[in-house]
Amino acid sequence: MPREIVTLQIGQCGNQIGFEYWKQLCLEHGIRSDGILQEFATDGTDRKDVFFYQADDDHYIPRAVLIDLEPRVVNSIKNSEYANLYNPENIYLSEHGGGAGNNWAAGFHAGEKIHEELFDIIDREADGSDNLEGFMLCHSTAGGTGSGLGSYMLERLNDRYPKKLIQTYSVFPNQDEVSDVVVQPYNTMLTLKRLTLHADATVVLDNTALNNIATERLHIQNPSFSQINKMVSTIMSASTATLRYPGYMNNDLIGLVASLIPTPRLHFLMTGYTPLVTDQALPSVRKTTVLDVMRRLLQPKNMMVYTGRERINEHCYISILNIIQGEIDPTQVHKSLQRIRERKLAQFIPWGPASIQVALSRKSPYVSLPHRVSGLMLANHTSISALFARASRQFDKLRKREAFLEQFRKEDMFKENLDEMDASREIVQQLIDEYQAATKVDYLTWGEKVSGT
Amino acid sequence: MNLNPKFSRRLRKVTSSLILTLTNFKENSENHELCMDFSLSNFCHHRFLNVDSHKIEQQIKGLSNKFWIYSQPSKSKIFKELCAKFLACDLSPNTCSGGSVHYGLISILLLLAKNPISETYSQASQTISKIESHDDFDWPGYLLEGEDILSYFPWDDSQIDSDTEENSVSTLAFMDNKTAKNNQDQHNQVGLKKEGTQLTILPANVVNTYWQRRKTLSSLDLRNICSLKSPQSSLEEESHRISEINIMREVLWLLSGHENLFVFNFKNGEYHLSEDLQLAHISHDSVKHSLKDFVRRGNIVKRIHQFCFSKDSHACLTYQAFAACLIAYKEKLQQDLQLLEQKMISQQETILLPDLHIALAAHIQILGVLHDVFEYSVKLDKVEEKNAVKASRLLNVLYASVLDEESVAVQQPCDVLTAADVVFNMWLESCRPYIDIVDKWITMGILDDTKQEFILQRSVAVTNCQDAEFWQKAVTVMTENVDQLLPWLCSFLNSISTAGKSMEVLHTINKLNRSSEGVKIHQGGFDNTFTSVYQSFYGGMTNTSPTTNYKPTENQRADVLHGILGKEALLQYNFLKLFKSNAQTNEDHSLRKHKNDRTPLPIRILKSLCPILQVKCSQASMELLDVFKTRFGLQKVLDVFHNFHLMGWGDVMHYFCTQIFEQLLQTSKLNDDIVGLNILLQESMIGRSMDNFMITVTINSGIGHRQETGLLSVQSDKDKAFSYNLVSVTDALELQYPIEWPICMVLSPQCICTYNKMFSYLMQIKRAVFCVETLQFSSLYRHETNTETTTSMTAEPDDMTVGVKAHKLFLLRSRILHVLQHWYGFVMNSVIQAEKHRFSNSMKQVQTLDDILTAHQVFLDRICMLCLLDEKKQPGGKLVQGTIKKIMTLAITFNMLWKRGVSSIHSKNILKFESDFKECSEFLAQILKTVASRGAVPILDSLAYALLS
Repeated sequence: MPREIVTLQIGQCGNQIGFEYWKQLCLEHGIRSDGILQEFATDGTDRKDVFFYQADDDHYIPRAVLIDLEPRVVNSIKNSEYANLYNPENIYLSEHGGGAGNNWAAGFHAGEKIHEELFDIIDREADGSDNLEGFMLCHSTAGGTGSGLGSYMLERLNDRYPKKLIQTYSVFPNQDEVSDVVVQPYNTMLTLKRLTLHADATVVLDNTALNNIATERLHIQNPSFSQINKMVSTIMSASTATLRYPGYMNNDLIGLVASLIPTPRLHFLMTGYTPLVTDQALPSVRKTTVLDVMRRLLQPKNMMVYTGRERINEHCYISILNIIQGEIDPTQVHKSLQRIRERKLAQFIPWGPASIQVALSRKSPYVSLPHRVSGLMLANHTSISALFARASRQFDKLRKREAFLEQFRKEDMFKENLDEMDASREIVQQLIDEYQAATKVDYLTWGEKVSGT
Repeated sequence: MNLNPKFSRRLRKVTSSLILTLTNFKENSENHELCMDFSLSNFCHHRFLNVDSHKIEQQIKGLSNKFWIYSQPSKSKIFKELCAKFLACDLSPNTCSGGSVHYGLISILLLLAKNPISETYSQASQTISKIESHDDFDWPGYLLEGEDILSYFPWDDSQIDSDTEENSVSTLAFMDNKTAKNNQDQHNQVGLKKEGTQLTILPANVVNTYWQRRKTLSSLDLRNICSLKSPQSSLEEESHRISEINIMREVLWLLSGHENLFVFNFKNGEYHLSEDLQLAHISHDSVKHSLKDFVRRGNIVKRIHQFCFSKDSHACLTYQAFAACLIAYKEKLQQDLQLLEQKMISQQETILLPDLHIALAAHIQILGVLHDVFEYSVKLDKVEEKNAVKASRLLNVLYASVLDEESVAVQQPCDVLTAADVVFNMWLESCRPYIDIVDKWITMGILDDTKQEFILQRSVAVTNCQDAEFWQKAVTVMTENVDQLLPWLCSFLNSISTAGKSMEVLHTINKLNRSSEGVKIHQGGFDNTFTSVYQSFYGGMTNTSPTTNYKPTENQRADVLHGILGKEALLQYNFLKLFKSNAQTNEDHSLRKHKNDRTPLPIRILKSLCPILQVKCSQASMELLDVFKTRFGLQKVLDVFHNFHLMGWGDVMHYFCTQIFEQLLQTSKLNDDIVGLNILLQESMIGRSMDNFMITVTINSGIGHRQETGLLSVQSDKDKAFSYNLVSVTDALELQYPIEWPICMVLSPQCICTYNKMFSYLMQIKRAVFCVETLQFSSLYRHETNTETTTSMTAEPDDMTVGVKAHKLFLLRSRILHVLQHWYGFVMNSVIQAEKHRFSNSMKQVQTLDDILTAHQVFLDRICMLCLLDEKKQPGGKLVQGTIKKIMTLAITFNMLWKRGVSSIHSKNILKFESDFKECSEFLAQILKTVASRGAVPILDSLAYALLS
């Protein structure tokens, strides 16, 4: 009896990574692009029903809700070969199709308007599950729909389904380039507040780092979005591997994340993945034992969050979860952990236990990879505050100048004042401070003012 | 036949002893009675005894036709004639010719005749019928046929002796010893008749009657020698003078086993040299000296003879084989002696006593070795000793003497038989029963050991194959130091006993499942182990691995035949039979010189016997394993236990457990509803595609009252009797899975107990983890709105703000979770998963049921040991388990505390919790470190490290 998870893909970025994600999942479970099981897919031990449900005609349908305020991306999905995969009733496209114009407030208020329809779909999906565990949200924080509508969804979902877990895969903007979304700091700040207060776990995907990895490691000059999205989909599918290929432990989402998150606000997770390959992968001469994989995962250059130079200081790991897939000798696991602890390959918080957990899972039998063993790391590292700090700094710069605020003032929320923005900034600052405090021993007695749920 | 009571009583007695000998069933046992009835009915009612003369005539005709067809016309003619003659003669005064007795005897003979075609019949000399005419009697031929016959050779060494005192002496009869061969007795009788009448002409025509010497005082000898009596006066003594040839011939007769000799007196079962020997040219002392050896050897021969024909030699099959060998040797000895005697009598060369020594040197040596053998084996036999002890002792002594002899052996020319040869042959033949027993046992599964002489005995206590203890206790070793006694076999004893037990299990499986398809026990190609070994030793096949040599040739032959004969099955069958019978005809086990290429005996055994035994043993064991795997699905059953009891199917068990835990959180009492629980279990299995699993949940109230499996039984409400223990609330739950008989040899009740124990333990851990894991941060603030109403309840001042308290609780939660999750992860991954990995690897290499049992036991033991559940063997384990239990209780109470909401939790509680937990975790880490540093469970080191942070 599965604990089902409903995926919400919001906005352009969200739908793109969601699309790649479902593609990957179909490949792994041997489902054709129209939802029918392939003939060779006879392995009965994988749990497809966590993410898919079976229609009457043995058609596998993803438990996904596709939401966007402009039709471009969703139409391209509908025109792809996977058009028949999704449940057409779960696709919501706004009637006017104008999008949110990279305006958080526009997205947010659009959510208020289309609340009913959206929640009709979501309620239907929730009812269609026997035992819904939670929601997975895919969005970006820089745009309009993903950030604004996404924030709205976070608030409402928390109200409506208080007991369900909400995990987000949030794509943070690339800091290195001057992107075409100038107001991205505002959007990011406002979204961060909701992420801090209403999400249970956030997997931070930093476009900066992803780009870096694509250029340097995979030797792609100008990585396209689809290549980057492929990396993201690998990460997403690896993080759900233990749910879909049940093993001895970690059979539900809460088990995975509970040990990673000590306090309600410190729930922002970094990821790392190895080995990273492009499609034209050369045969690798690397050894892939459990120890090697875990060691490589701890290297900063494999991290998918760019934290700048601040990494070197007293920032440390709060907790680590390694999900290792492939042919593993289970007797090696504890030895590798021991080795890592002995060599102090990872710096941990001083006020609590050094928590490294390993979850073993098997790979899909239908996807052949050149590597025997692959690993994903989900880590709660205090240096993620550097990312937030950077975003805050940029926000401050813009806010001081009061730049680009006209579009925001058009919306209801900011008509009178910009308190919302300041409140968000406040929350984010508290978050950064908490992360900073977590690096020190006295975090144990650190108290915090209780804010509303 | 008329059954008068005396006859019938005797019949019953004889039948009973027959049954006892053949089958070893005890008197008055059921089997014995059945056999008795069977035999008696056969005796009474079988038409066999009322012979139909026409049928017999037909059979005779048929047999003679058969001879014709098989190109043996002479046989046919002779057979017909002999039959006619027999029918015509009178057997006894009572019966007349052509009566039913004749026919009866003929029919018995026909039935007993094994293979009349292949027997070569040489017309026996017609001595039996012609007793009278012996003038042109072929004496040498006559002598050569029999053994213990004294003959009279017409040589002209006769001396006319006018001593008339000899006439009265007629009582000195040359009574020959009765030998085992009854037909010889007839000859003897004949001889006896002859001798009595002609005793008087002996001195005149044949030989000095030296045995009739009068005893004279030794002093007289001197006198005689010095006397000046004329040679004629001592004619009297001369006729009784013993000469060297006489002595030598008496020696030969001595070695043939005769008792009635002059030179050697047979008293009290032993020969002694008579004191009365006077030879003209040799002094008494030197004669004594040279005859000493012969006396000893004579004693040995007598001993052998006694043993062979005593009851002792029938005690067990090994002894019988040994006795048969001894008899064969004795025959050989007789032959040699007779040849020698012939040579002596023909007097073509001079033979003196020393020459006799030389000629018989080999036999003297052999007899010496046999004496040693007897000394150390048969002589040590006690009446109360079991046959197994006796047999193994005999084999041991033979083996040792073979080794001894071979180490000092000198290569002799082809025909001369050395001691090494003889003893080796004896050892090989004596081993035959053992090898046959082993063969039959591991190929057919029947331990056919009526005399209970095999070293492994099927213990009487465990008769039924289905007993729980069958595998461990069914076969016991009878003697202590097997490796000393039977070094060539002891390395195989384990595999033999395993193979034998496996075959017995297979047979029982077949018996129990008569209706369904039985297990195919490989019957084809039953190569007799002993034949193969024999061949390899005696150079029939020079390869070292006879089995591999046999089978291909058989197959090749079969292929060739198939090609030639096409599809004619009957033709093929007959051809094959023809070839096979040819291949097996050279099974005469007479004493032969064997090809010894100087490799030591143990190595030769290794090359010949060991491969065969190994192949057969492993075949038997592998068959049993096959059956286990295919028919009973051993792997499937093991997987069920692993997946459910050890929670290998994480998702299924997780769902099942979390439902129960959630309900426990609300009511804190286990749900009584067994039906509901079973439905829950089935529900949780829905996601998996699998066959019907008969696993069920029950609630064990634990006070000795076991629940039956099944969905409809109701549990008796004894919860109150439980001592209230938070953590062990879930212990009452039990999973049950029905196991049928052969599988329960692997999954014994103790194993199942261990699995259940592990299941309860895992449930406890899971519950504790669940309690902490599922605490949501927001639920701590749930009662925030009620702060106003509850402040009055918390009368004591609280120095911590809500924020600080909440924070502390968060961190405490994460710490408790950390410890529990690490322990849980350790148990599931590093212990259960890793050990399962190891177990699967070792299961791939199992060859016998013993291997499976060991591997499984090791698996379970290691799991218990690594989890420190084995409180007896690991003193630290108790402490660890106690601390973990405390932590688990803490977790559950923490959950309850959390639910109250942060405002109703006093800071003192929080501090107490924190300090309790800190103590426990540090203590735990310490103990784990200590246990790990002791070296037994090094894996715990990393765990301790993790916990200590």
